[in-house]
Amino acid sequence: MTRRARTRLFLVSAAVLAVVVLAGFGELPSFGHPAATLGAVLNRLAPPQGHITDVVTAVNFTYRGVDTLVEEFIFFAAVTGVVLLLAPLDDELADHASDAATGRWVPQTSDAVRVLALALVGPTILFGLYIVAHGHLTPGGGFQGGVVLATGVLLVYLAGEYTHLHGLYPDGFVEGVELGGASAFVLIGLVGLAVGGTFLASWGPLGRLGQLNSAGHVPLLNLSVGAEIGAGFVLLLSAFLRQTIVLRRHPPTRHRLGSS
Amino acid sequence: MSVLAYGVAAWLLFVGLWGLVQSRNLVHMVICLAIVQAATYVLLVAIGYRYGAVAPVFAGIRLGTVAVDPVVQALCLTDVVVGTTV
Amino acid sequence: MNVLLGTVLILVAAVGTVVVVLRDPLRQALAVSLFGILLGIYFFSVQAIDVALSEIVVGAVALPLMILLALAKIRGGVQ
Repeated sequence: MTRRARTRLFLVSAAVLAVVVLAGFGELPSFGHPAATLGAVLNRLAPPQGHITDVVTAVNFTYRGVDTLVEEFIFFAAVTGVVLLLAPLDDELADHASDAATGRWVPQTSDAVRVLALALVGPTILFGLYIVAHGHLTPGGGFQGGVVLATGVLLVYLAGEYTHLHGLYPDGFVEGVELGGASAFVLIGLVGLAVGGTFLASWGPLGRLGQLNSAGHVPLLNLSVGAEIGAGFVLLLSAFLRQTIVLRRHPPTRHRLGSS
Repeated sequence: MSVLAYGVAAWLLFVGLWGLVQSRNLVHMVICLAIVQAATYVLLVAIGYRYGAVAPVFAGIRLGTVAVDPVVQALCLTDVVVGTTV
Repeated sequence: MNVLLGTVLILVAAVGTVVVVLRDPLRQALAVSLFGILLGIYFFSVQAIDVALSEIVVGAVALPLMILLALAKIRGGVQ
């Protein structure tokens, strides 16, 4: 389809869509005065019922826990797909795994970047663990903390070379962690099934509101999600880096990384 | 204010769609898709907002304080994760 | 409060438009990163803190990383 025809088709369908959207938006409650009552009910109900202060996490892990399970598996499938797609092909030779592979000029990482990255690795991983662990008390949770953990690992790569990353976090170990996280979520749900009669029913000590060891099984779910997401991102990073830095399809040509 | 909040969501939707249609580069297409998704986030979260309310996290806040809608935020959170996988 | 919200919304719309209009994917990656941060500020302003945290973490770290690596891969594979 030619470009002009495509544009014209888009303008027509956008006009139709605009009419629908405007009609729909007209029905919306005015900004700042929501009409929905389920949210207000949950705000009152969640802390006493589940001993959990972060109601959004409560909704994600208890009231709508199955949605989170499916979301985790979407992520798992996506990571699997990417890793499979980027697996080395027969005609791609594994060059010696170094950023300064022969014939390929890569700008040297400046010392400032390396020192800063090295200094930030510890605090970042600690912060990521904090966010994961306190998911049921303060904003945060498994997903956010997991990505921060993966960022900590990325900083290891920035501070050193690809070989360091590969040595510290070998693929088998990271894959094991991701699998462990995903299965832990399902296992916790099954325990809920055994104890409470429904999948992902609440079990575990409810504790006192506001304490770290409160809210039953939600902190465990947070930990499993955090492990899975963090490991998944590390796998993605590792696969991409392996593709761009290590593998070579033909004899290396002079190619500057990142130029246009 | 209503017009602005919902209008920005609609604007992002159409701008993203236009970019999607006009793009020649696959990476550009994916980025425009992300813009369209952002339009839905803006709309969802705007629906849940209540003037003068606090966030639905009661750590240190007296229980029973009026807060914004947590269900919409939970939906948005899941949405962001799915957007990442895309 | 209203002024903040209005300003952030207008900025979000503006940067969103810029992201779409840019042609070079490398520049777009940076623009998308900025867009993510602005979106995070908007979420803060409407008291959606969990969503803001997720969006900042994803939009400032994960998304540009993926884009940049995809670009490097595409360019690296071209002979």
